[in-house]
Amino acid sequence: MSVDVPSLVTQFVPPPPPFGLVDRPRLAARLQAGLDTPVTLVCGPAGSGKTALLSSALGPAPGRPVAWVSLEPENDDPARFWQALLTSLALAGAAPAGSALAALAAPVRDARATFMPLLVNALAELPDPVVVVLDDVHAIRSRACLNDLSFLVLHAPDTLRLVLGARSDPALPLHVLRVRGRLTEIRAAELSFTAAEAAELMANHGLSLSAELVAALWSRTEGWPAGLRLAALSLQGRDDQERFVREFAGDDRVVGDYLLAEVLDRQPPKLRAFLLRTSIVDRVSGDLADALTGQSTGSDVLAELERTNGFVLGLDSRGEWYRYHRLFAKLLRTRAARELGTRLPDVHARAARWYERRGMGLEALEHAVAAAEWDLAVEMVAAYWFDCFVRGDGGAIRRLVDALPADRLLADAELAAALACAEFEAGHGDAGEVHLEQALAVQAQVPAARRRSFLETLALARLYRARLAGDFGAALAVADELLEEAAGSGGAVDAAREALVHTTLGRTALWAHHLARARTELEAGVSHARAAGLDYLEVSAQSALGLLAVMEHGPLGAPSASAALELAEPRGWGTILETACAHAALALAAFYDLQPAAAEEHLARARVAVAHGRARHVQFMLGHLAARMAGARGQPAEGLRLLDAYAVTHRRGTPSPYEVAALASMRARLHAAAGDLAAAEATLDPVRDVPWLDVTVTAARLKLAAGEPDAALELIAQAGGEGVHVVAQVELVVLEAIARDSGGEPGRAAEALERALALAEQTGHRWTFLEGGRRMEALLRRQIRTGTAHRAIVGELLLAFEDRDDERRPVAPLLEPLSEREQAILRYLPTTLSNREIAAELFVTTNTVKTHLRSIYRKLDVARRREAVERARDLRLLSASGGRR
Amino acid sequence: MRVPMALMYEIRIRGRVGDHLADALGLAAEVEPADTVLRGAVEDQEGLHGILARLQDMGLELIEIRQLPPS
Repeated sequence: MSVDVPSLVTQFVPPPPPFGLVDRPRLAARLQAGLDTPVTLVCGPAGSGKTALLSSALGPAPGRPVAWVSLEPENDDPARFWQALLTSLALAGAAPAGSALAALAAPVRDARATFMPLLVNALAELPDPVVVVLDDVHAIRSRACLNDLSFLVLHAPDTLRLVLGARSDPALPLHVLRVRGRLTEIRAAELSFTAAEAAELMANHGLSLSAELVAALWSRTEGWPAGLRLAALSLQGRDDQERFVREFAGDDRVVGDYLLAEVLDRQPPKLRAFLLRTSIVDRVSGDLADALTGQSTGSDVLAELERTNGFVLGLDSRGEWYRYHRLFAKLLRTRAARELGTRLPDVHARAARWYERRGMGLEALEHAVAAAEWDLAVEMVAAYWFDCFVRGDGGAIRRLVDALPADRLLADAELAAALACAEFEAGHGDAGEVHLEQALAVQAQVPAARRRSFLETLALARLYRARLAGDFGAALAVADELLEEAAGSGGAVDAAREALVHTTLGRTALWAHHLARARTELEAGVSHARAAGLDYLEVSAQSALGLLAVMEHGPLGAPSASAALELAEPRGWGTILETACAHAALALAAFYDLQPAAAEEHLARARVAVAHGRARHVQFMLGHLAARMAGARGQPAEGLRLLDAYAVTHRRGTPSPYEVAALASMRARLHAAAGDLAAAEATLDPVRDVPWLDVTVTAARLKLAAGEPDAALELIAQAGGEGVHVVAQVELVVLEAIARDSGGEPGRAAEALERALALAEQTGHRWTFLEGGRRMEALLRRQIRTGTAHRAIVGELLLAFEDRDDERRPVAPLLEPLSEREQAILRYLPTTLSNREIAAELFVTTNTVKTHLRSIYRKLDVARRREAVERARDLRLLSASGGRR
Repeated sequence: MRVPMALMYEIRIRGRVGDHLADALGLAAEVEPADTVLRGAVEDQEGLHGILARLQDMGLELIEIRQLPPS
């Protein structure tokens, strides 16, 4: 939506003083004194002068900026509410550049839980105290907003002075503040005019009334400021003032209604029609007024009204926009409903078309609905839903749609496509299917001029659907076809749309493992989103790019993921769903870079982020990594348990073929790590033929563990599958080096290791080498002696091996099985028998025992007898309770 | 699902209210000396609060509100 919507300007400045304003020093002083308490509440009925008091008494002072928000029903949503507050703080100059407050963004969806503490802390850090005026707090009724605001009220830092204007007591825990003396209240009784103030108001309207008449008016209106204002308007230019006051005093009609009728009846017919017709909009400009009245003098009439009528307020210094006092507008509207009757829908339709021409979709929609102009309303929703969507506010689409009659919803292809998009995105598969089918069934009706955006919406819906169905590749193909058709169809190209389409294509390509495509699309998504100022989308695209970088380039790709979080965190979006990929990327990178503690931290944050939505593919990646990390800690059984738990929680829904393969592959590795090669082979069997490198690598690993290096090499030689993560390629070469060595080809082993080290240099991968165990350590030592181009990395890795010896040893799968004789000796190791005693038991020489022990230690990848026992237990080569006594 | 059942409410306002105000609220107005009694069917609690908010918008003073027994 365009930026020059008047609400954006006028909502954040105190309304100018109305014509005839009466100075009320006693209340101004109360308000000033109230700034000593954290919260001030000004509460009174419509027309009791709350806004006039707040705006006249709370001017900005040096070192004490005043942020003003006139709340409207549209703000009754946490994202919009806090966006309004942040905007007002920025406009008031209360958020210095570089401060936490300046960086903070309104909470999108799942950032809500973290937003309030961030806001309170950001406010607490301000160098100068700030007064925040929230006028018309009664417009805020949603539980979510009130909960958030309650938090602010209870935790208001010393730098914040909150002033609330409301018609009724807001549902906030003000009683808590009241008993602690932290609340100042100005209520209806105090807001009522005194007789003296009533006299001053009359005088300000150029009326000279006797004290007796003023007293009669004051008594009849009970000091209600709006009533007195209406009376003053009605009295202006009257000869029979005394008679009017007497009649008014003797009448028992509702004050406002009576007086408004008097005011209106005294206007020339043209002005009367002007007031009634223009009352239907919240804000009116000369141009809008002309559209509503069919006249051409709107600007002049409004300027004149502002000068003489305290209910007509100018909203900007250019004299362009005006607003009627809400009470006055409400009373006028009930009149308009009666007097314009069947002409009223036409006035709404004029308003709708005027707003529509200016790109003010929400306002256009509201009046199109009021005018029962369903075509226009549908068009507005079709145009506006997208705006909500790219800002991460999918829920708003439902609210827009609720304003339309059900039969129109079903009949309209564009709406159905938009709804399908929103439902799929929110994870509601069934509802999405219904709308998608509907959209396809009636798509012939979409006008040529909007065919392009319709097809784009369909493509988006199909891509979001893939998140639930797991058919990323197929979805990408369908979307590509639709988008190709879209590109050749009529309709405008829109920057926001481009950004969303590219980002969504990129994310889908990522999960379909079309990595090159993913990169192109995501980079386009980031640049379009940045150009259109769509932070939410930029975070989303950059986060996916970060994951892509780590998948393609290993830990060295991590800065790309950090960039996404640097974008998200200052805005308070550190763990929104859209950041899950970036956190996952950092967890992977840290793990492969031998920083298990950091990896755990990133993993935990990724879990928080992903819990906000349905993203099975991300969940899987996290479960997979957690299992791998458990295996690396030497807890393969725990790794298997984690994978089982993942499978149980995700038994509904369809896993992607990659998930099936990767899951079986990781299970097989963990079984092997636990020493159960038979289970490992059986687990891998169903997926052996799938085209992923991951599976081949695991198969080769199992062969190596079974003591068949030739079979492993054969698999490695044939490996041609797709490497989703670059780590699989590093693993492949590392395994080749070990297999060559086992097969008695030290030269070729060194050559393979050299290639593996080159990959490590390019990608930052380290873990895969450590996983190779003592065997790899020996190979690396040899490599350094025989000469390598990668000395630095080898040195680094050898150091890591030493560090690891101080800690726990991981249970890497046994790369070579123990011989029968070795197994026999192993069973004596948990005992206290010496080597000589073992030799005697087995009828062999001590030297033979020592030779076997060296072989056992090498195969078990340990240095000492005690470690051999522990590791053998981990591998279930010995029972946990100990060996033979 | 609960079947929505409109309930009859009676709302008493201080002062005489013109017909157009009652029309705007979708209620029937009956003027008693110095007060107006608005009567009509209200969809649910939300609808009721909506009416009360609109009364407040128009600066009307609420005296009493009660649900009428089903006839």
